[in-house]
Amino acid sequence: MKPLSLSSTAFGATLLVTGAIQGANATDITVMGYRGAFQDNYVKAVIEPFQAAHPDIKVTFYGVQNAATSLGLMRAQKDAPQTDAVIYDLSVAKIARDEGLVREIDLSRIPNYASLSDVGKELGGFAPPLTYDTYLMLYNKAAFPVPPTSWTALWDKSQAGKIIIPAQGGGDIQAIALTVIANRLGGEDDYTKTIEPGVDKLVEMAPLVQTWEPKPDAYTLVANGTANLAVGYNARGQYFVDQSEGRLQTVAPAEGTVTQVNVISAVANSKKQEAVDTFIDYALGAEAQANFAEAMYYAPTNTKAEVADAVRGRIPLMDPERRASQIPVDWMRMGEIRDDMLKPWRRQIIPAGR
Amino acid sequence: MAVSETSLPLADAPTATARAKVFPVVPVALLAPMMLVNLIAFILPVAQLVRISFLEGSGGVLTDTTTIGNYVDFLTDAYYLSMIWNSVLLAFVVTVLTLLCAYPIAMFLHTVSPRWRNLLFVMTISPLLVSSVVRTYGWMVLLGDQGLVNNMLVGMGLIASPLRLVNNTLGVVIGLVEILMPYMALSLIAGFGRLDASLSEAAASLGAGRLSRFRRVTLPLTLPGVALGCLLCFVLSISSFITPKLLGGGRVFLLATEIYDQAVIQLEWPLAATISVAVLVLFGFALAVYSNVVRRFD
Repeated sequence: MKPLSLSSTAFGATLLVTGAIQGANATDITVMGYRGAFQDNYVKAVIEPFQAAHPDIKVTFYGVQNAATSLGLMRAQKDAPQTDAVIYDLSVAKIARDEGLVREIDLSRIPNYASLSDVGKELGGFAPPLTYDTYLMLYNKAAFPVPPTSWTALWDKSQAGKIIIPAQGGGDIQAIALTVIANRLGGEDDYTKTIEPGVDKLVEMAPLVQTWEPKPDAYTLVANGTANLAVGYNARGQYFVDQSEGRLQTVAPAEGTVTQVNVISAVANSKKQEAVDTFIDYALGAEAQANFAEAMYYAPTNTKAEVADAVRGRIPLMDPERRASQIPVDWMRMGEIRDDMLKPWRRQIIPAGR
Repeated sequence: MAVSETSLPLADAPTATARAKVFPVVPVALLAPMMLVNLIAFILPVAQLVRISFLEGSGGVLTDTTTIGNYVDFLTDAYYLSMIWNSVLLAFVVTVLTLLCAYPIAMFLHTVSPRWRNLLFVMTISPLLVSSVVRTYGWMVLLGDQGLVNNMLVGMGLIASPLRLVNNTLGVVIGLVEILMPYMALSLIAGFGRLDASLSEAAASLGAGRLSRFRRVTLPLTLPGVALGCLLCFVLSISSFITPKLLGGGRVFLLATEIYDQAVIQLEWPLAATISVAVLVLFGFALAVYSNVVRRFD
C-alpha cells in the first residue's frame, strides 16, 4: 500500500476540521408540517434548494398527521419548543396566535411578504399565507363516462353507498366547507345568518354516504373503485390523478369552490429566530412557491411565482374564471362559529346516515 | 438456665406503639422505583388531565379560567348521555358475545388431553401476536362491500346486493369480539384451573345430568375466571379506539373515540379531559362491581 504523504494527510485533516467547524456553526431548525406526500414534495421542492442556497442553515421537516396535531405539540412544548416553524391551517393558526404559541415576525425581515396575495393575510406576521388549495369533487373515471359538473351529484340517489364524505371525528375543516356549499345549494348564501338549509341538504344526502372516515383516504378509495364520488382537495387530488394513472379525476363544480389557506408561523420561544425568518422568507419567495406548485399543485401565494402552463391548468385557483367563482369564506370568523358549524354534523347529519 | 420473657427489662421490650413508629425502610425502598414510575407516568398526567377538565375552552382556544361548566355540559347534554349509554351498551354486548364464543373453547381446552392442550392453547392466544390494527384492517377487507363474506353470500345467491357489514356498529362489534377473544379465553382458562374434574364425576355418579353438572358444578367454580374475563373485556371494549375508528366508518361515536375527536379534531381539550375523567370513573365502577362479584363467589 502506498504510504500517505505528509501533505495529503494534512489536507485530509484540514477538510475534517473544516467540516466539523462548519457543522458546529450550522444552525439546525425544525419545521413541522403535514406528513406524507406533502412532506416528501416540500423537502424536495423547497427545503433542499434552501439548504443549497444557505449551507449555514440545516432544516429538518417533522411530519405530523394534521394541523391539530401541530397545535397539540406546540401546546405541550410551549416553554421549550422542539420545533421552530410550523406549516398548518389558517383557522388553527388563529388559535395558536390567541394562545401565544407563535411569534409575530417582523415583516421587514421577510421582504417576500409584500409579494403575497391578500387572501389569508389576516394574521399578518403571525401566519403569512404559504399555499392555497381548493376544495372540490373527486370521481372515479370509469363510473362517470360523463364527468359530473355540479355539487348536486352528491345528492344523486343512483350513487347510494358509493359516495364518501370525509368528516373525520364528526367533522373538520372539510365538513365546514361542505356546509357552506350545501347552504348555498339550499338557497342561503350567508352562513353567518343560518346554516339550516345546508344542514337539511346534508341530512338528505347522509343515507347515500358509504363512510365518513375513509381509510386510508377518500382518494385511494375512489381511485380503486370502492367509491365513485367523494370530496377532497385539489393538490392531493392531482397527486392521486398521477398515481392512479387517471382512474381518479377531480372537478371544480360550476357553483364554485372553497379555498383553504395553509400558513407558516414562527414558533414562540424558539432560540433560532434569525434562521427561522430566513427560511420563512425563502419559503414565501417566488422560486420556492413555483417549485412547490409544480411538485404538488398547491396554488402559490406569491403573485410573482411563475408556474408552467401545464401545471396552471391543474390548479383551479390559477384559472381566472374559476378563481372568480370561489365561494368567499371568512376563516377568522369561522374560528368563532366553528362549534356551531360542526355540532349539526355529529348530532343530525351523520346520525341520519346510520 | 431458661430465661423467661418476663425477666427481660421492660425498657428493652418493643411496645406496639414503638413497632408502629419504625419506618419500614426496606419495603419502601423496594417499592420506590415503581412508585416513582407510577407518579410520573400515571398520577401526574391524570392530575394534569383533571386540571384541564376544569379549564374553560372557547372556540378551541385554551384559557386559564377555571370552571365546572365542562362537567355540567357533559352531564346535562342528551347527546353525551346517550353516548355514555351507547358505549356501556356496546361494551356489554361485546363482553357477552366474547364470553359466549370463548367459554366453549376454554372448556374444551380444559378437557382435552395434555398432549394437545398446549398446542391448542397457543393457537387460541396466537392472534395476540398480530397487532389489533392489522387484524382490524383484515376485517375491513373481509366485511367490505367487495369483501370475501359479501362475495360469498352473493355468489351463493343468498343475497342480491352486498350487506352492510362494515362502517357501522355491527362491524365494530364483530371486530371487537374477535380482538378480545384471546383475553377472555386466557381468563377463563385460568378460571378452569380451579375446576377439579373429580367433582363433576362425583355429581354424575349421583345422577346429575350434563346440563345440571354444568349449571351446578362447572359454572359456579369457573365464575371467578368469567368475572375476570368480563372485567377485562368490558374495560378494553369501552376504551377501545382503533377498532371503532376503522370499522365504524365515522358513524359510531363512543367515549374513547370522542376523547380523540375532541382533543385532536375539534381541539376542545377541556371537554376531552372531562370525558376522560368520566371514563376513569366508569372504570372504577367496573372494578368495584368486579371486586364485589369475586368476593361473593370466593
